[in-house]
Amino acid sequence: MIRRKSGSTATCVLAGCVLGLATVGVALFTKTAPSLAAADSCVTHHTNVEGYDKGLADAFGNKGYIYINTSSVIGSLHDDIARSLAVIFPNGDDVEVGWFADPQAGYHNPTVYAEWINHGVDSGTQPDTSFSLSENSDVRFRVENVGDNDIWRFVVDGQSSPFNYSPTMEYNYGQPLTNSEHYNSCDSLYTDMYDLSDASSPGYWQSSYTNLECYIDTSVNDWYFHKISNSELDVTQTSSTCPGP
Amino acid sequence: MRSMLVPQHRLIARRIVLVVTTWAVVASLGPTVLWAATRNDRTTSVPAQNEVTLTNGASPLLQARATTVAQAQEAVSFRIPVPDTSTASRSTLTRTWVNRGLRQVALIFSGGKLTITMWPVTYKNPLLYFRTFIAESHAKAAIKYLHGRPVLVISPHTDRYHSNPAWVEYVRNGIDINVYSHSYGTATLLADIKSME
Repeated sequence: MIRRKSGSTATCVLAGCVLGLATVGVALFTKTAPSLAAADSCVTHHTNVEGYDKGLADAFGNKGYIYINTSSVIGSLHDDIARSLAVIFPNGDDVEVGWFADPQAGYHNPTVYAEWINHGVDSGTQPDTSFSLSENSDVRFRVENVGDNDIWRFVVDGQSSPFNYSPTMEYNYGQPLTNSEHYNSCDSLYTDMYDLSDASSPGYWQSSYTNLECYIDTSVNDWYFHKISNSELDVTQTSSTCPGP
Repeated sequence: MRSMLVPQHRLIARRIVLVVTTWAVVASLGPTVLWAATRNDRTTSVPAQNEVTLTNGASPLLQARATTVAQAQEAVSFRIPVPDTSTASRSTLTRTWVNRGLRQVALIFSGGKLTITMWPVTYKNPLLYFRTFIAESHAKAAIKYLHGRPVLVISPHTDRYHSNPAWVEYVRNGIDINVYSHSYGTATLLADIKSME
């Protein structure tokens, strides 16, 4: 009888558990399933989708228009995103200009920045808050070495004065690079960059990149580099022409 | 035996109460358990550091090809010194890269634990260049000397994000030599370049 009574109790508890789980399941998948599923799929993931000028490895500058994403994208960020133009050097050094937004660091609006890595030493993001960027617009950025003196200038919107300078780098020239970057899988990598150009000698800008190609895509196949011409690219979720990580 | 004496309708009522109670407990605790299990995925803390990925592949050089030390030496037309220590030697050399056009060479040891790059020096005065680097950099760095030649020594994990590698650089016979590592300290790198003399 004890066994029979325990069996009855266990059956009742089991039935209650089944009903309870069913209730939770129904609640999740009918009311809140979309938002919870989206939140649960968001993970920290540093991703770069990059292009480069395969035809010019010794550029003295890199410039072009970069799209500033919409307020709906920037207003719902989970983490840092950045769009930039860079010149990269051997040993992992580089100079980089563009915009970023990082709600976790208090940058809720798109913000101009420069950054450089010299002998492996990262300057960190150097924001310039004096220039206001409008969302859903295109803004010109330029990084250049005009003096042939290893010091690189960072310019936004074609202004006559740079907003920042690099320290003395080891290199006068390097490989031009385009970069779309995020740190959370749910944040957009969408970008459009056009009127891309690089300098084959100090102050001499070509009409476009010589041969724009994808450099790397670490996005695990959900965002893709797309070459439109030698002076324009976009990063979308609809076309793939780039090797994976 | 006593349970057998409980009226049948009371027994059914107890079972219904048990089922409903269990149902309520599971239904109310379920979301809490799910939230606790998944909340770590939603909390992130990444500093404002934007970082382009600089090389696709293992080469620290741009547009380089894998080769041997002998072939690289022929391509760049200068002697390539190789260290001979427990951390870096021909027996631990993993890969050699060369960019013939720019006369650049990279030696990768122990699967990437230590890297040496070299090319014709691009600045005129190494001591002045190293002093300028120290003045303009926020990382901890110093100048030491090896056989009278200045050596730039950069301490690891001293930049803004505590992420920079240990690094030494010096110029030998007109060749700029950089040695860096995320695995070893500057004392090891100095011993490596000393063995290259």
